[in-house]
Amino acid sequence: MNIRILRNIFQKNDDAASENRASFEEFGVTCFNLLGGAGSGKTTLLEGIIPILRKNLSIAVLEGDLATTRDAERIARLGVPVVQLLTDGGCHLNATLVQHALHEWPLEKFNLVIIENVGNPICPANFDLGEHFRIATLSVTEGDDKPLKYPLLFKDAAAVVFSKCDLLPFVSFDPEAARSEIKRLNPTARIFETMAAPSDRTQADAAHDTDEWDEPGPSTTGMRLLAEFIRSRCNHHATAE
Amino acid sequence: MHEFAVAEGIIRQACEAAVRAGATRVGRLHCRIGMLRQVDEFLLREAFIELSRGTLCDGGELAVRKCGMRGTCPHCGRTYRNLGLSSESDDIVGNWTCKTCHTALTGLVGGDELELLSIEAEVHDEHQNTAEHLSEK
Repeated sequence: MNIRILRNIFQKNDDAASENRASFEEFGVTCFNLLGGAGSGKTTLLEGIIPILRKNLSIAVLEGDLATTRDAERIARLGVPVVQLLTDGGCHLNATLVQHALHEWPLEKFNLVIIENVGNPICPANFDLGEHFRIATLSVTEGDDKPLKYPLLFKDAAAVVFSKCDLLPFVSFDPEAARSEIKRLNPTARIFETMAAPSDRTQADAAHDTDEWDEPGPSTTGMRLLAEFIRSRCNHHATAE
Repeated sequence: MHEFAVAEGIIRQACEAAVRAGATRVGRLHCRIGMLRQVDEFLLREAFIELSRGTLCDGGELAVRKCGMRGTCPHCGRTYRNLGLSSESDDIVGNWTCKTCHTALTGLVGGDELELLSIEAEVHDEHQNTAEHLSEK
């Protein structure tokens, strides 16, 4: 007997993702999913933008990792609530795991939920978590040939961040080549360039204490532009309701 | 390693459909998986064997149709129907340039499919259905 099915293999995940999205909508929360390979600068990026964003937004962070609570500890130092999701060897977050974590939070207290996915350029991109948009990181040490190798990572991202750009003099990464590959996959993606320099984080720490940034230098420009982009997406989302 | 999640999804959908149809065993499972999903077929089969044990899909056979992206070269108009990332597709995309005029291909669609199309199931068998343990997960 031949039985026609014609159904999405990830239906269960996508149903949970829809429920997560509905929860966010109910409380007027914007959510983005931060994806990228291991060591591509996801946590450093959060350390750069959270001190800027937290001035106007109430933020919560969900940290996905295979093991250890190191990233969650780094985020906790910024003074925002963080839940560590350990996948125990699993290579990606799925919408059900996120759903369990969301139950731990009074969502009505937040404007922005950030999900930092497990460091992996392939698997996480396959799973909708219920986010409103995605941000993908590509560090210049990974190489400018990566967009077409991991197309799904970049194809649906609202923004792509080239991280560690202060290392450009030491690596053979051509930002224009990477930019053009990303545009072929995803013509509407916004592209940002950030630095790895500790000055970013020093300023971030300073901002945490004083709520004021020091003189914005070139090393923080990328983070500030990215934070502005995220804020505009939050506003857009709030207005749309 | 998202192959385990893909196998689990296939088995869940197949078991549910088989139970609804009163089937007692699933033979072949036809699915369609896009190249962009970067699913390793060998790993998928291993995961399927492992996860299907004790379910209606135990002993079943995965028939995977890989599909690539579709599009037209913006310069010379050459049409591509199955552009992939590996030699399994009809056309190897390589550096994502047109094979005829070497122009950069853009605006490609498809390649992200992930569907269970149909199953071939037996209705006469003495096996008890054990789909519950999967659908409860």
